[in-house]
Amino acid sequence: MAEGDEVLEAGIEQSEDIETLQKALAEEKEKAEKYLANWQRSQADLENYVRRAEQEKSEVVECANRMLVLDLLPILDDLERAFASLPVELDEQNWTEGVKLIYNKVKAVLETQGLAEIKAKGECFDPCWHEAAGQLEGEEGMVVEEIRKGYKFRDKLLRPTMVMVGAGNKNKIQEESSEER
Amino acid sequence: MAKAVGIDLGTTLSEVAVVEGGKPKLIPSSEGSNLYPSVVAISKNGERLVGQVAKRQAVVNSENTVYSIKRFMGRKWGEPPGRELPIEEDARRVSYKTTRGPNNEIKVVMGGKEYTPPEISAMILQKLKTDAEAYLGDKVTEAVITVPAYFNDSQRQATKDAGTIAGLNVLRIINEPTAAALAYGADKKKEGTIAVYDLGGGTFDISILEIGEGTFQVKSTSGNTHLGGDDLDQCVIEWLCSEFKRDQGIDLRNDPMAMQRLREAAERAKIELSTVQQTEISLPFITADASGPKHLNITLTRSKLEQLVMDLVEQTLEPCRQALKDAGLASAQINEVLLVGGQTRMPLVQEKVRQFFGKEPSKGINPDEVVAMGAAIQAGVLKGEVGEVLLLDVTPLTLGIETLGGVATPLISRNTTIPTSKSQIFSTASDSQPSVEIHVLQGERPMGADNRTLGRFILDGILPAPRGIPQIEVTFDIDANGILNVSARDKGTGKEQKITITASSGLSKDEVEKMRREAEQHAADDVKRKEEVEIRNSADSLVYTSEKTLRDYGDKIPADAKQEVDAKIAGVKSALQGKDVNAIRNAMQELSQAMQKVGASAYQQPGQPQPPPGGEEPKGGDEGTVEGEFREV
Repeated sequence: MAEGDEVLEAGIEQSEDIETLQKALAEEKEKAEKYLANWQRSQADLENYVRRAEQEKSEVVECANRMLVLDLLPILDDLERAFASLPVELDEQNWTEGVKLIYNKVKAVLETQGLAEIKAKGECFDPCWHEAAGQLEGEEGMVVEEIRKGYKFRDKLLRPTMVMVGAGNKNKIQEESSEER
Repeated sequence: MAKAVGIDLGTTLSEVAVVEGGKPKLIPSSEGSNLYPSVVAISKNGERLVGQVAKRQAVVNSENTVYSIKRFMGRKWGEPPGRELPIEEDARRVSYKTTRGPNNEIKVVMGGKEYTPPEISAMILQKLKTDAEAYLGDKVTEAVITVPAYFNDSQRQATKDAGTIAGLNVLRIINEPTAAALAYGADKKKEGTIAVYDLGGGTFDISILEIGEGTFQVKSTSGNTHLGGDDLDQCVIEWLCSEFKRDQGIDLRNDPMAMQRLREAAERAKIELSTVQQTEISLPFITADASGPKHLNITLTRSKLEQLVMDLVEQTLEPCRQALKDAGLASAQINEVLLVGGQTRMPLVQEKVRQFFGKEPSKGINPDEVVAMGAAIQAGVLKGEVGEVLLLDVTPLTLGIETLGGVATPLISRNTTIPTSKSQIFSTASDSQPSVEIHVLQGERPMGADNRTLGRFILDGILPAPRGIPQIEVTFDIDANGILNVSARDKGTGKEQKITITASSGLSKDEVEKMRREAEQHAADDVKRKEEVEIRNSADSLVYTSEKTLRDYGDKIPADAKQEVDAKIAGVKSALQGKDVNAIRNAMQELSQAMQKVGASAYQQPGQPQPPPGGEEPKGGDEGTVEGEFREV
């Protein structure tokens, strides 16, 4: 700082200038802080997103496989139905045997991918793995009949087994409960 | 920071969504589905089940399984119904027991205990909350929940109470149609009138909304609380049964397993027919009689399906008429029509709505998810997460440079969010090439000449070197204002040149659209031309490496092999003079084979550990150098 009257006047002016400058500086500082905060936030958002995207990428592949296998299950069901109603004259024939081998092959391929049947008959009814279609005479709360096979895919439920559950009461046979609306 | 979620608490299904990175996203349940059945049960061994698991055991535990609780929320016995059926009727339709409290309030019985409807809804909300927390890895304590527009105060209060019981601070209860409008960004409009047509699985609602200065007002609502997609499925099932009976003389209605398969097949067929004109419903071994197994194999066309459900779809139009009348509006005064609910994917529904309102309904957001997404947006706005979102632009067209043979090599592809930057290494196309030209292009066409030139410059002073050796790093950088900086740097000498292009996004929307369309129209021709250039480039490259090999290892190669290669090189060169791509390809193949023989013979020579480089590799360039080279200037 210099001395003298002229300089003093200039000094007053200067101090006013400094005041506005300080104010401007404070404003800019505030802005800078806000921008930094937003930047950090968006950077964090991005990192979180990338992390989840990585995870989801593997999930998507798994999900695509699941969807495909789920769509193939009705074909397994159909083949099983066909074998279940096999006319006696066709049974034990070589040709029939060949078709059964084809079925086994398809199933083996799916099993190596991670498909596994859910055990149901004789087990305790468990809505985590079984879907109740109705009740029949039999031990209460037990699966007495499988009406459509259920499957797991890589240890996760793919399709629950559709089952008939024992009513435990002989008077209550095959009570088809009203469909849920 | 704990997130606030949006919840669509539905009659049959519920959903939960959250705003992430400024956009709403559905949260899948622990079972992996975005849909949570609104079902609660107490199992025989006293365990509480919610959602999919509760639904699966409903048939064998019907007296302890509560569904459609939304129909009882905030209502009392003897109360005159609003849009709903009388409460006695709704109670008669469910399989669980309902009781009357001291103040005529409704309670439901489950597992021998009485619960109020908000307590049951709270169990559903708790499931949504738990699964959302697991997904987000964070506590969820706040939510926006949607209700039908016709819900009265006590129904809204009951919904809010359910949230509180579930441990959620309910930021706001909003109307389902308002949520849908929010998901469509309607709050950004100054004013207007919107019709929201919501046809779900079991209910139909039509609402007329008025927007003004970011506020929504429900002008009128109408609908049918017992009409939806499930009824349409039923039409298809009935038709399939009667067709089968006509053909085979067997009534499948008496066979529960067959009916189960029919139900699934009917729904699947209905969904498929929204995108295709006809579908095969194939259910082999559906049943059997004395003569053997019977198969159901019926083709259902879209027009037949439309004929089957026409009456039901038309039943939705009367409420639309009523809603317009109540709002005192004519259909021409509706500015926008929004579709909500999975059933609105059906082309017939869209057509009827279009005819009725005289305008194309807005689509584009998954109609099953739109309400939950809108609720999440509202939650985001209330938490200040959405308002502060920085709007980022995208680059409308692909940006790149021209490389050998006039090929446009993209660096930044269309619709990339800006600011962004991208670098790629290129090299020279001929030996001792002193300079490269950077020709900056904009557009989708694979050949440079068909795209727009944004600028060009020359990087010179490249030290003499065989082609493919110099490394030229080209960097594209677009800032938030769309200003493009292109620089090229010779990694050997460090010499750099650059250009700034300010008009990189100076195209109007129409121009962008035109360029995009042209690219689509010419796609097939363009691919052919690019292929031709590419084959020429690799032929050229193969000739170069072959000649180099002969030059470098000539003395170690048997004379007859050398002669053969020379002849084949001449063959490729003459093919390159012509325009026949196949001739070039054949000549190249012959040359490669001849070169392979040279390589093999070199290996067989004793004391020759080094194979001739490039002998089996037609493409030159060292590792890390990206294919695609500058043309010579």
